[in-house]
Amino acid sequence: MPPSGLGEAFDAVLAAARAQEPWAFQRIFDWLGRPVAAYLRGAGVEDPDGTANEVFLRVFGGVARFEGTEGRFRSWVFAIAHNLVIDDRRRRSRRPQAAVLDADEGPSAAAAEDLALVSLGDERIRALLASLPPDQRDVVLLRIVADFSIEDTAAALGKRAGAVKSLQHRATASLRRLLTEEA
Amino acid sequence: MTGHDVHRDDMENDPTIAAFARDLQDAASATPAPAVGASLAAVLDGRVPTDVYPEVVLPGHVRTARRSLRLRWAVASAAFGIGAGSLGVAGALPGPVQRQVARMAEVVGVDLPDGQPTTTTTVTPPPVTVPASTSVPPRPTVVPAGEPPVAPPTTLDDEQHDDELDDDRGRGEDRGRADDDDAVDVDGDADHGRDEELESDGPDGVLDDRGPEAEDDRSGSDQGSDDPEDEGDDDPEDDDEDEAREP
Repeated sequence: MPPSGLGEAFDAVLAAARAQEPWAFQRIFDWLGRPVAAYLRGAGVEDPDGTANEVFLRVFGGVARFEGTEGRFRSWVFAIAHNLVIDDRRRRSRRPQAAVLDADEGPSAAAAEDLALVSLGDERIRALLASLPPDQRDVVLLRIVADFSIEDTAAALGKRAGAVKSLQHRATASLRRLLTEEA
Repeated sequence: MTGHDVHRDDMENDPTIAAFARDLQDAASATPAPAVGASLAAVLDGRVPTDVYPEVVLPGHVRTARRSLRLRWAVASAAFGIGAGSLGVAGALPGPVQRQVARMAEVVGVDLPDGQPTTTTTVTPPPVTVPASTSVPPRPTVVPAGEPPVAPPTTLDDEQHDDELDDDRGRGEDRGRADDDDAVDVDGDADHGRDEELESDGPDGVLDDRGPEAEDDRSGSDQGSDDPEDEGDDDPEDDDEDEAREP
């Protein structure tokens, strides 16, 4: 279910959010909270809820300086979410691997990603997403979960539209092969 | 890539991918809303201003900041290059730096002063080689002008000699010599008197700088000298010549 937009109410909500109106913050959170959390879980973030909270705290902290349309606002919010996903991946890649030799000590980076993907609720979907490289997975999630266009996805990921098309093409090729084998 | 979008993209004719997209959308829809933490709850309730949280920089602003940083580096590098180049052309850089700049400029065909002076003003003259026949070491230049010439001992009468000594006292009274009459021995031993003067360290102590050879020369004793020309130093003319060498 793509996130429904605010439509004509967007300008009023944005103006109220700039004025630090709590009701505007709540409206924005109701609008984008679920798709942001789905994106974070699909991306395999270790703490999806905490990261989602951080995303909206940053959004509300910077909304006074934002200028643009509803589509650009959505791209901006997911760009913040994507930056936190990158931070989370870097943090986990720097984590010493020796600490996870014992399975009882705690989840490894891949295990945490699997746990996050499990929260999507579909084992099959989780396995398919986990088989994709992170860049391709991000494109698939933004295009499907956030209902982004190629240009919106490129803006959120900080890439060129051609690079996003290339990543999407490779992702669909991989998914097609996996789904064919599955069938 | 959702619903209609999937069919517009490269998945248009692939129902398998379209089915996957629908399943993923359903899973995302089933995803619960994120749990609201204490910090976010405070903001949503209006209890905490949002400006306490870190400022969010848009991707475009990041690029602008990086570009601005590169521009600053470029301007700073250009200013430094122009400044160093100007100083190098003027030859106003410190010596080692000037040499390096000149060397680098020489690579690109620009001739800059290398920091070395073109005319040497501190050229030291080559050492003067004293002929072997005049091996007498140079006299120090600090000998008082009132140094009395040694008179031939046998050609002076006492009165005349006393007059000369008086004159000498007038010119060299700082020598503080009270027994000049005794020092000048008319019996031909006047050089010994001078030896005593020289060995007595003199009033100013400047004659000691001449070294033992000078003392030997003035004493008329050639026993320590290998130079045959030194023979006959007893000749008062030699003394006159010695005096004449003194500035």
